[in-house]
Parts: sequence; structure tokens; C-alpha cells
Amino acid sequence: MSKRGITEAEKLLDAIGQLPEDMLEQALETEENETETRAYRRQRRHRREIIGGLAAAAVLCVVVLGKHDRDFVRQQQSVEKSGILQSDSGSAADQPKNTKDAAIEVWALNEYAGVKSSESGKSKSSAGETQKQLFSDSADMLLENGEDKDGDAAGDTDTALKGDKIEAKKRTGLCVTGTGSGKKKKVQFALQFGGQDTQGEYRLTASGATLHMVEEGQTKAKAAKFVRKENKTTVVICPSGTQLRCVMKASAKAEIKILCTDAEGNKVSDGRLTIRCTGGKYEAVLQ
Amino acid sequence: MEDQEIVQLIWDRQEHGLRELSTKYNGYCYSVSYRIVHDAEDARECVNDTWLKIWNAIPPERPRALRGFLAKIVRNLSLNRYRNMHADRRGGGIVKLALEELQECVSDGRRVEERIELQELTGAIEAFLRQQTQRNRSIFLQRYFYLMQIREIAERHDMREGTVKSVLGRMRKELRTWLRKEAVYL
Repeated sequence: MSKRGITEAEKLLDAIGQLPEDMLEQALETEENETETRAYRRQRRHRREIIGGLAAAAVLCVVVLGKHDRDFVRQQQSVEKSGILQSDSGSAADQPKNTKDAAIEVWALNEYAGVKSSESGKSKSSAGETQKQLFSDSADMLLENGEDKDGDAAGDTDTALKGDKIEAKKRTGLCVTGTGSGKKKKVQFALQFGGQDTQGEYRLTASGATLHMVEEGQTKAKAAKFVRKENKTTVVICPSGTQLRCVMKASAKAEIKILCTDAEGNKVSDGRLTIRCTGGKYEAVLQ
Repeated sequence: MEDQEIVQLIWDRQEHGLRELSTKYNGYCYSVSYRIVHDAEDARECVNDTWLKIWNAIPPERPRALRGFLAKIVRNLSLNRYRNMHADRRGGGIVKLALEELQECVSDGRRVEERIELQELTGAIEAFLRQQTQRNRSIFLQRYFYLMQIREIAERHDMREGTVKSVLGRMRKELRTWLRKEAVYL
């Protein structure tokens, strides 16, 4: 800065020094007021934050307690309901429990409407399709399992049923018939979910296979609801004792998730039925 | 004790008025002076000179805003001291000192034209500051009257230093335009 510039700036400094006292005093008072206002604002903000935090905590408590209450009431209601059911059906200790509701029961049928396993050659399905027994030894295989096809193989609950009960974690041979040829070759077999005299429902989710009604003489199958989902899975909700036709690609693997509910709609058990082709034979494994 | 009571005591030439003044405003005057001279001894001397100035100024003057009145006196004294200190360093020597001592005999050492010019300049600055917001006025005076550091002003106003700088920069430009408009040439 030039000497002249400094001199002029000094003049300004001197002139500022001659400003009225009230203005000079106000300059500091303003700052003091501002400080007070700032402190007040800070306090107010702090207070608002505390109140906000407390409100949030209160809301959280209400939500948690409300949920807890609802759970408790639901639990109590189910306890009451089960108590009523027990009282309705008499003393639980006196009567044996219906064990048929307690586990999943699936039968691999040897024959169903339109298709007879004994007809190892050609047969006519109800839909008029020509079907072929792919594995002539499937019936023999079933016999090898030590089951009597014509006897009470389907269990003591269904005398009309001719097939094998699929035991948990054991391979059970399936009686399959084939349709089409080449890449379009498909196989089909019949399964029965639950005993005929058992109450409750089965919810089946099939992937790699489609489930269909077995057309004739299956009144229970008519009550089943079929839902085909976008991801190519089929969901079927059917009463216990329903026989269903399962169609799958000859070379593919299928899986059916099973959820078994009792008459009240409460879940009894669930499992997974896997069907795969091993050494030219189709086997089902329940897990 | 209230400011007006202190003023009244000094007006009545009672020495304990000065003691009250010193008790109440010693720290304040010292801080104003220290910001300018940056030397504890010089600042103390400036403050002591301020009491003497006050004693001589009241009466005839009767300040309504005692704090502002004190600030003006101590600031001017401190600025003079600062200038003297720097003049010595520049080699002003004894002659310079003698001249400054003699200046006391001729009022405030300014010529009539200079005094009129200063009054006009002060009037223009006052008018400029009156039209500013209270906050901006306060920032301007804290910087150029009380000669506070930017950091201190920012802390006092709870602002960032950059904001204070930009406020001051804007005000300086506006003042320059204002002074031209008011036909005050520097």
C-alpha cells in the first residue's frame, strides 16, 4: 500500500473513532443480545431434541408393548381354543390321540383312473392318450419292496387304494407311464396325499412337475384348488385323501413341498418329496 | 453502580467517582487498548491516561453512553501510542517526539480544514452505518473501531470466519461507493 493510501486509511480510522458513543455502545450490546439469543436458541433446540427423543422412545415402547399384548392375547386365545377342543373331544388322557394328523402320509399309486399298472403294454387314458409303461419292472420293483399291491398296501385307512406308502427317508419306486417321445417325453404317476378317512388339508408346492386331477371317481380331488404360479411351480390345496396325477419331464427331477394342516387349519407337519430317475427307475424320497 | 451515577460523581468532582469508574471499566478499557498496542504496559498507561482524560472532559461534557465515550477516548489514545511506537521504529527519534508533545498545545494537532474534513467523513460513515443492519454494523464497528480479530468477531457472532470476511468485504465496497456518492474524496 502506498503512503498516501495508508494516510487515507488512517483518516478513515480516525473518522470511525469519532462516531457517536451510542452507536459504539450498541455494537457491543447487539453482540451481547445476539449471544443471549443464540444461547436461548441453543437451549430451545436442545430441549426440542430431548422432547423428540422422548416421544420417539414412547412411541417405540407403545409399539413394542402393543405387539407383546397382541401376541399374548393370540397365545391366550389359542390356549383357550385348544382347551375347548380338548373338552369337546373328551378327556385327552382318556382317548388316544389321532396320530394320523401328526405325520405326512403319501402313497405312490400303482393304478388310478384309466391306467392299470398290470397293463404293462398299452392302455387308454381317460383323456384318450396312448400311454406306455416305461418300466416293465416297476411293478416287480414294487413287489421287491415286500409290499402286497393287491392287499392293504396303501395302509389300513384306505382299502380301495392300491399302492405303496412312501416312508420317510426311504426310496420308494413309482409306477410311471410315459407320453410323447424325444425331447418332449414326459412321465406321469399318481400320488395320494393323506388317508381317505383323515381330516385336514395338504398344501403342495410342486416344482419340476405339474399336478393334475385324477379324473374319475375322485370326488375329493374336485375339492382341490390348483394354482399355477409364474415361476412354473404348481400350488395345490387339497383335502386329505386326494389322489393327484403328477406329470414331469422324463429326464428331470421334481420336488413337491408338502404342508399338512389339521381340520382347524393349524400346521401339523411339513416335508419335501423328491422324485428323481436313478438307473432308469423313478423313485420318490420323503424328507 | 450505574453509569449515570458515576458520571454524576465525576461531574461533582468527587474522586471516588473515578475509583468507581476504574473498578467498573478497567478491564474493558484495557482490552480495547491492548487490541491496538499489543503491549501490557502500554495498554495500562493508556487506561490511566483515559481516567485523566475523563476527569478533564467531564464537565463540560456529560456522556449519555459512558461505555462508548470511554471506548472512544481509550481507542484514540491507544492509536496515538501505536503511531508513536511505529514512528520511533521508522527513525522518528527525539525530534518527532518533541513535535508530538508540542501538538498537545495546539488543540488536537489538526488544522481547521482537517477537522472539517474529518467531521464530514465521520458524518458520511455514520449515515452509511445507520442504513446497515444491526448485525453488519456491529461487525463493522467491532473490526474497525474495536479492532478485533476476525476470529474473535466470528466467535462472538457465532459465524464462520469466511462469512465475517465476506460481510466486511461487501461493506467496504459499499462504503467506497457511498463515500463517492456523498462527495467525500479521500
